[in-house]
Amino acid sequence: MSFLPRRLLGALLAVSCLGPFLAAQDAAPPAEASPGGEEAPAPGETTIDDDMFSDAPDDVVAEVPTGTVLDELERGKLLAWSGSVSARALASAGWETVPWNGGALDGFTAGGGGSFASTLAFDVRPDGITRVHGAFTTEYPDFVPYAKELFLDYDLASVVYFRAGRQVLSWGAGRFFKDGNLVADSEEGAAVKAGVPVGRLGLSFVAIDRPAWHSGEAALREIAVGLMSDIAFGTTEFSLGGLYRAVEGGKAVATVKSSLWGFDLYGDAVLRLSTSYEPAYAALGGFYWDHVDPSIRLAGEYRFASSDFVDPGHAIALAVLFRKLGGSSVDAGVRWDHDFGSASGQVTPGLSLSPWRRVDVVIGLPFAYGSDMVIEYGDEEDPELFPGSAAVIIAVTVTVKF
Amino acid sequence: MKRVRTLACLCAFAAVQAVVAQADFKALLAKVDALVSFDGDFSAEYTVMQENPGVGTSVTTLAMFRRDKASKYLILILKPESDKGKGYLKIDGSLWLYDPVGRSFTFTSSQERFQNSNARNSDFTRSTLALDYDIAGSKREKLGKFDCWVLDLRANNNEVSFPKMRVWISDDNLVRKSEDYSLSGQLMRTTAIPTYQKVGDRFVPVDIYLVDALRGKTINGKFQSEKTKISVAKPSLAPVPDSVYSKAYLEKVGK
Repeated sequence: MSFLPRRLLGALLAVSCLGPFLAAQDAAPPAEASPGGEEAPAPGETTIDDDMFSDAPDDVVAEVPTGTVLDELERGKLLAWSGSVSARALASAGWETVPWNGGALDGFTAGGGGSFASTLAFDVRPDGITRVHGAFTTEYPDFVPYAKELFLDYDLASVVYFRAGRQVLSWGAGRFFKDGNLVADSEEGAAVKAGVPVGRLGLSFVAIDRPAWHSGEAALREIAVGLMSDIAFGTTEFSLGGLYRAVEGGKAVATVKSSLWGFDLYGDAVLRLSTSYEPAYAALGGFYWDHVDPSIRLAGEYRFASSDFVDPGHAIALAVLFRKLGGSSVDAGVRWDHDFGSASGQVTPGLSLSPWRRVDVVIGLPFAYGSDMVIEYGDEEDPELFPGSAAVIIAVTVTVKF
Repeated sequence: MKRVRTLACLCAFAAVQAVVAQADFKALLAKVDALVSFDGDFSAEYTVMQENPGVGTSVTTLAMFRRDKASKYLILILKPESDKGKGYLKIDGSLWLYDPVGRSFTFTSSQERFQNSNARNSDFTRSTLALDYDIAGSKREKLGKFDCWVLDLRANNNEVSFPKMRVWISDDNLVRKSEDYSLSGQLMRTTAIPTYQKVGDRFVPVDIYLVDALRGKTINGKFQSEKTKISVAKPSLAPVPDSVYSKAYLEKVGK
């Protein structure tokens, strides 16, 4: 299964592999229900009848607020903390090769493990024009803090918004195939972004440095600089971005996003130019559909990449997620990744549920086929591997957020 | 022959009456729209309380900025913590959703429910009843303490959330109640706005009650509908900078 990008197959177990990418850009994400979050009174009125209007208070003149909502947003907050601690136990069992014609235990293997991780984030907004945000993670066994994000914001007269430091940047439209995200290096280095707030037109400049690109101080030619612009006309948005690094060459991505009959449709075209090798190109087309009643999410992408890309050739990814089955807390879904060049791929059906407060259980039944029998699952950036073609993987996670 | 002429005259008279009535009620809808729309900026804090029978109650607090004249709005989720920083930016027909975790925008034309509640995104935009609906019927009715016109409306385009509506408009030209129907006539939800608050020369609901006719749960043999209460606080007509209605601003104020 090494033919597919790790970040693509870096699916969380089964359904949780579907959840993050489908929910991350969720048009209507669920609000947190009170059992796991804030206590809230019921809306009160059970039916709408004449009594509601007979007893209604008279219309009033609104009090002039001492501070508007904008004032409160701009006023700043001295310090806010948040974080999470999670413990996960995981068990896996399956076959290196499915014994279709042999004994049930031929090639059977089983394992287990666990993880313990935490995240601590802070946000300081001393005034309306500056902000410092940091998010640090630690993991067993070494517990060495890692700065996932640490950046400083500066608002220059509401004309340019600057953000400097380690930050997540995102270009392109791909949900499964991220070739269009030319600025992903920012997560392993540091970047400066200057965004111009101009309504339907988006314009931002970026400069990115990664320690892995050089030894010692970064020379100017080591740094990547880029520009992203986008504009929307009605229900269609066009984006064009370019990134240049003197020692490497240039990259460009053109993105189109639109909607038709309730489906979000999108496409990325990526071109890489280098002084040392032939031009390389990749393209993808995808769709996303979100149905509310019943809650069904459907997404799919087709991708082609030329030979100079990682995992070249034709590939597809499809996923469907049924949420809150029968009004319960159970989600069910299937994800399918397939590479046409090697005629291999992985199908991952699964379930996720929350049987108790703060406890999530995920059950996945991944099945790999084709030339390279390794199942990938777990964290998107750092997936775990199961040496087989079929497995049952169960993960139980307890998470406390504060 | 004389009878035929009389009948034709009556028909013509009835048709003229219908046209006049249509025009009168269109004018009424235009007044309704004008009273709850804003030429300049409008900002407020909305609290959306959603009750799901058998599941629990969730609360979402959001900051709302509207500039109806330019068909723009920006919504920023303030609570709960899990959704904090998510945002919606709408300019004309373009809608962007901001995800503060992935620091990314989704461009969509989604007309779906707001935060999975019984509210639609369109509930937060300007009222365009006169533009989007034709009048199919009318009658006078008492709704609690309000004397109302009850109008049956039919959408004249496909851009609206509901193809049919029945609205109760009190004599002060404010919608006090509405029923939203599918094309087949299925009741989808009922909305009540018993009390308004006056901001400048315009009106904003104090509380909006929504009862979903389709979503809910049968508990002890009785179907209990999902319900939503939307409360509007800190309404203001103070000018808001142009920069607020931008993707860059959502990134700035997001989590």
